[in-house]
Amino acid sequence: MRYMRLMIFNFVIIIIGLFHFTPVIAQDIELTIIGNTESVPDELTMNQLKSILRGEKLRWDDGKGIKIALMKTNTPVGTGTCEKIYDMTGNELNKYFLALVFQGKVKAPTFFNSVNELESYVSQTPGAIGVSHNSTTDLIKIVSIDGKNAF
Amino acid sequence: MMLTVKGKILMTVLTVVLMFALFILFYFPARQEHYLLENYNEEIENFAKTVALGVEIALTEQNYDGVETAIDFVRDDERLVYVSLIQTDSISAPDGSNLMVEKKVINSFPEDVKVNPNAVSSELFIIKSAPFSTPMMSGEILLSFSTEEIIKSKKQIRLTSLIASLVVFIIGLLIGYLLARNISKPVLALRDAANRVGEGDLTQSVDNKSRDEIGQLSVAFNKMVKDLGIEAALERVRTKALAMQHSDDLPITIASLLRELNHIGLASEYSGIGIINNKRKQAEFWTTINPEGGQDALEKGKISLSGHPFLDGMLYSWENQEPHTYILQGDEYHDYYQLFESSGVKLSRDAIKESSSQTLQFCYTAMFPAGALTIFRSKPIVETNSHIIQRFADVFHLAYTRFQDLRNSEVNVREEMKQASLDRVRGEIASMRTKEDLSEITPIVWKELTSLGVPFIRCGVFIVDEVRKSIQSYLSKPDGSSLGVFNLPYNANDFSKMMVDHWRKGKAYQDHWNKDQFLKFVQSMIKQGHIKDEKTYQGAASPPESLDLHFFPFAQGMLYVGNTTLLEDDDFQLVHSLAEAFSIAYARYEDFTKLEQAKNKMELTLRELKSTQTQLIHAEKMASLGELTAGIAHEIQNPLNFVNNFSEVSIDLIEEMVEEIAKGNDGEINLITEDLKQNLSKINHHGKRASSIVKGMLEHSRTGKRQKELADLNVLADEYLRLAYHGLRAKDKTFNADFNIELDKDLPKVNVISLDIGRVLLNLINNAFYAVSMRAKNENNGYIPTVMVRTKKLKDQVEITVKDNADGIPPDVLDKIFQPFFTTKPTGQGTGLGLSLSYDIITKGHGGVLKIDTKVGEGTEFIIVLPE
Repeated sequence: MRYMRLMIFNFVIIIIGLFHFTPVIAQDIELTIIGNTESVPDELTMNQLKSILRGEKLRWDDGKGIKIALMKTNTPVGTGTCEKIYDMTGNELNKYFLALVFQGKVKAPTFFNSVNELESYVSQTPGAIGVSHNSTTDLIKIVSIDGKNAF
Repeated sequence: MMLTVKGKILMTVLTVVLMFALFILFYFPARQEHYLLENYNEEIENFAKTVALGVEIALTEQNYDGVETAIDFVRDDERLVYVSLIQTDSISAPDGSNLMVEKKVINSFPEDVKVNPNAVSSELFIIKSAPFSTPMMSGEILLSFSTEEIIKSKKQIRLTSLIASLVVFIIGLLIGYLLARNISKPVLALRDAANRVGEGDLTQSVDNKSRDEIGQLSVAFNKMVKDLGIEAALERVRTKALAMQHSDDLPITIASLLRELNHIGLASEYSGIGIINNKRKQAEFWTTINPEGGQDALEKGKISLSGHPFLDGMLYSWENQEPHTYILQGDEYHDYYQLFESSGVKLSRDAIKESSSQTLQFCYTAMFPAGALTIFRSKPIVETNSHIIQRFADVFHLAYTRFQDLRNSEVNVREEMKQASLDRVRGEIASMRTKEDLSEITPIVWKELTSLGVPFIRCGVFIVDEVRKSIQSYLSKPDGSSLGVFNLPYNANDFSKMMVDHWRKGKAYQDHWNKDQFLKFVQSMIKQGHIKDEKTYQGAASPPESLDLHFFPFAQGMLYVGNTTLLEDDDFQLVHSLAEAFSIAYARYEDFTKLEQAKNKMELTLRELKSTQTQLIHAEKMASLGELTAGIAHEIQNPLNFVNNFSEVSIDLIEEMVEEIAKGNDGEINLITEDLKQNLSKINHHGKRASSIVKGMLEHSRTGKRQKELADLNVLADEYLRLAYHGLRAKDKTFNADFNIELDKDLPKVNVISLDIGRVLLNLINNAFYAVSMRAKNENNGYIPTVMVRTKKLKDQVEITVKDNADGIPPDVLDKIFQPFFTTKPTGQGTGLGLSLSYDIITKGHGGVLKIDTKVGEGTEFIIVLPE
């Protein structure tokens, strides 16, 4: 009897969890590229953006080092980022950067759990560029990609 | 091969060092390499793990900081060959039976390196892997590091080890050498010092300030040598003490003791020995002004042990036989040295002036039963040294005991010498017989003064004659011979007056003459004619510059001793004794002279006495002869009667024979002839008998020695009994007495002088007859005077007794009867020599015994016992 009640309890919990954590579809999330007010240009093309975020470009034009800030791949923004910018899954992204780190070719991005943390990091880190969602803070700049503030 | 201590130490250290060097050279690098490799492996493994952890975090948390840091660290390491990210997947085996692990290299650094995911470590590479596992993937980090660095490190380690071992070896060698040197040097020094100590050098000391065992050994050695030195010093003092042959040697022992104390650093100036006289609170002391100066540096004096705190304390401590410690300073220091100086000791430096309030002198006095040993030092005396000083004091006590023994012995010897000398003086003087002999007095005195060791240059004897008021002077020459004898009147000079004056008072007299006074005396002697010239008296030598004259009184005069200095007390007493002995001897000489005169008189008297005695003895003989004469006459008368009668009868017979011849009657003639023959034979027999009696009488009166010969005592007894009886009868017709004779037929002949024994028997029988006749005259109540003579054989002896029944001999008379000239007979009737001679004849002449058995009122029995 007791076992039965435990089974029922678990089931209820799973059901509640399913409803509660229903993921946001990544394709639906608009991504905003944010950057530190220093060194980061106001505008970039998508290719430039991809090149920067893939670690192919390591410095801004003024010579300052590029610091990439991303949401963790298990977040909607992170998932969106993988799909829209890296065209990879989260695991692939991880492996990608792991390989780069092994080679010592790039500094791996800094991953955050929340947008606020990410924006805060970008605002405080010169040369930092990150991928956010609906950013409203004035402390950072919105880098338009191909002329769009969000995509 | 014998190794020295140094060699052994060096060898030991080298062996240890060599082993250590080998350890460094081989074992140490091997271990280092092992640890290096182990650490290297561990390090690489840790790298791999770190990277794997970083990967794990990166893939799960998407945080690449750790993996970046780790991979950066690994990548920067020059030793890195490659680092690979290996993905492991479990796949089914181609046959589908089992799962198998497939490893796939995901990425590597450097990029172009070919990585075998299953590679293992080799000599050239160390390969380590660390697994990681994430939901995304599982794998491992494979790290490959080059061992080149390790090989280099190994070489470096070996080189370092080699250098280290060399350095260790060299340092070890150096340390070994220094150690060996440090050890062997003091050891060798100890050995050398010990050898020298063994050779008798006790001044050795090893200087080693180390506190290690060798240092301690050195300290112990130095202490031992010091102790040995002290023992040797004590032994030397002891030897000196034992070597003392005379009491005068005591200062030598004291000097030796102080020198030994100085050698061991204890004695100093004014240290010394004191012999304490508790009764007088005084010490007789010997001190030294220089401990190394020996006997010559010794000063002797006497000091009172009261009045100074130091000396008071010393006496108190001596009474309790406890050591005495004192510090002299200030006024006490000053006062002590003033006392010291006043005791007669010469101070080598002005200790008094040198003293100040700051002057300190530490005094330590060790006691011994007879006195004390005092040490003065400028520093306090530690306890160890006080013990040493006490030991020296104890040794000195032995020396002092020996000194006392020697002194007593010397006193005894001197006394014996003195007695011998005095005996010789007595003997020599006693042997003097004439006044000329007296001229030898001065040589005798000279000789004995010399043998007694009295210092003198002249001597003499003055005999005072109070009757003649003159002094008989016997003086010596400087060579000891006699100057001669001369008489000085009492008033000859002041000297003679003073001498007589002192002699009368019985006091010694001393005077001092200088050269002039001496010469003045000599001149006066020349003037008086006693000596011829100065040389006669003073000898070949010049007159003495100084002469101390000593005159010692004795009963008859003065004994004179002249010396260049005054005599010491001992010598003074000695000469005094000599004077007394001289006096006795001289008195004996005088007595002897008188005795000699008396003796001469006595000898004369004795000669007269002897002559008288001889006459008396002869008279005694004559008396006894006289007593015999009557008996003899009687005895002779008988044969003469026979001769006369037979001759008369023979004449008648001849006449008758003539008649018968004429008749021719041959028968009658023959008968008559036969009768004549018998008569003539009788005449001849009695003639011979008369002749024999006369011969015996002659022998009785004969003097001189006679030979013993075997004699028949029975015949002698019989003959003399009869002779005595008839002799008495012949003298006194009223005399009448019975006499009996009992002769032992078995009496053997005895070897005697017959005449002497006959004289004894005659004397005893005469006395017996005299005694009984005297009693018979006094008694009329039926008394029968009887004399009995009896002979008897005893065992190896013969006995003859003469017994009477007279009044007996009273006890007071009995003791004297054998004394010569003792007689109870009226004067003129007895010489008093009869029994005395009889006693001598029996006892001395024949070795026999003459006894008396008498009872008053009953009678007397004289018993002669003669050896057979």
